[in-house]
Amino acid sequence: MGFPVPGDAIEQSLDLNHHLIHNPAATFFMRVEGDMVAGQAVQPGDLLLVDRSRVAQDGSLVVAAIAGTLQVLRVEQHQGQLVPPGWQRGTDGDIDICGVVAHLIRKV
Amino acid sequence: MFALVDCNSFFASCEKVFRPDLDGKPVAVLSNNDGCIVARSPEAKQLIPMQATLYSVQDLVKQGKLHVFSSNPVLYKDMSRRVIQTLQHFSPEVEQYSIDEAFLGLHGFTKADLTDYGHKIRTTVKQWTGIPVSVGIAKTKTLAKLAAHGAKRHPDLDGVLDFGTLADPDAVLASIDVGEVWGIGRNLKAKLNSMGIKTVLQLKNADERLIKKTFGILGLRTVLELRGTACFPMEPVAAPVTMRIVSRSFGHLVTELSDIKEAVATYTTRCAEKLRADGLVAGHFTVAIRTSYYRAKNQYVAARSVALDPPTHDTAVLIHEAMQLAEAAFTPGYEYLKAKVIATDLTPVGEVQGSLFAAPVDTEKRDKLMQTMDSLNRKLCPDAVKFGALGLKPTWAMRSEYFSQRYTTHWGELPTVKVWQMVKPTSTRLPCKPVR
Repeated sequence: MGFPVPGDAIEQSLDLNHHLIHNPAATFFMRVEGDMVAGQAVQPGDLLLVDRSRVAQDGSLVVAAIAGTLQVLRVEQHQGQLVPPGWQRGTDGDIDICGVVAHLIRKV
Repeated sequence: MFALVDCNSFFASCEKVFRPDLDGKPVAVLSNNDGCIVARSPEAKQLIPMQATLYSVQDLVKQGKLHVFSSNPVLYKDMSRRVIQTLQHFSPEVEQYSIDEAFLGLHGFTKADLTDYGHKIRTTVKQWTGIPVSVGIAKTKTLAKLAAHGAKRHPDLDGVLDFGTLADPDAVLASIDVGEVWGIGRNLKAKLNSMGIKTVLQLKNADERLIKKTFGILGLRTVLELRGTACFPMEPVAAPVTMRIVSRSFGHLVTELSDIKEAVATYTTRCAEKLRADGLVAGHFTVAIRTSYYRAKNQYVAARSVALDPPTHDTAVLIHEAMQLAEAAFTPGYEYLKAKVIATDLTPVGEVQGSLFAAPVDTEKRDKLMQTMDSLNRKLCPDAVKFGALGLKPTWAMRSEYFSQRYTTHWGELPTVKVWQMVKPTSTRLPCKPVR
């Protein structure tokens, strides 16, 4: 004799989309490509969930357009602007933040 | 109050979202089959006319002065969905009017802050989706559409125009061609012009009885809307689908029945997939083929239809019927450009009545087969599993040489990002010559 399936205790199974994506209209999946960079949290092959509706802050991991390509990096507050560490606006060109990396998914 | 949100150069804007290297550069999108230009970025508008053929701009493309893309409908549809989803944060009433336009019902908003609200909509849509939009705000849908048009044309407005804030609205209406009014197409415009009505202001001040007599109640409503009386309410629920059409030009002119049948079988497969996705069955099916309109001689158009009893969305049944229709429509000796399949008399699956005359079909088994095919094709790639009638190597297929990625809907085509690295100061040392 087994236990009956408790009908009223059944809930929906866990939904990763629901858990990871807070603003579906503004969330985009992006794939990291290229070579491994020493000392970086992000690695080639990582899947990024980029939320364009989140406002970047000091220390945010962001995807930005730099010199015509999408790049992932951590930005710091520097003279009222969010830039990568050691960056000099003007001499080093422009950086246009596209969105904040909300989650990072890595195959292990 | 109503707002009309209109995406600027929508298809071209979609192509730019994941390509920062194209920022500020002329981008154009081609029609199906790479025929002619159907969308231009603002930079491309300075360079080439709308409807320009690929052939006429190929020098610019080769020189790298113009970036062209084949139509990528999957991307455009997903970006459109994102824009609509964003707009739903701004009003409970959102009516998608076309792939790149939506009306918002703005009831209960005070007049003073509507321009600000329009700017908030505009910046949010741009930030969240990357798509630039123009916003027109007015008392009626017809005026909101005109306002959006104005917001697009006058850069100093920064993309937002509240019609109510104009100092002299009539002077503005007098400067706009009557053909720009919502619902006034080429034929109506010609008729209005022949009556001496050339500007929007003239239409607004036209005699009500004359308009009603000539253009019916719809024409009268348009005039009343121009005067500020809302006659067209919000229609947030999409009108029920009454037909499903799959229609495409061939990559080149086709003369053989076998090629036409392969194409028709492929379009029929797409059509059946759409019906299943919408939970509909078709009671009527039509196949149409035609030659090019642009040839003076040897033109041919034909369509054949069949009633389906019982109504169905079974690919096998539809292909079987479509093949017979294609054979019946085909006449040898012509160069065919286009085929079209049309499913009509659509009803939701659950509402189908059993047929008195047709033999019963084991629908449960067939449904399972179709579901399995659909899920395999979704998981693997389109047409991973298909019926033999579609052929193995289509020779008639559309051209799309400049296809971009389906960035938002396919795992294998996601936008890629590099890990940022501080650029090291470049070495001043000259490269050494190899020692012999």
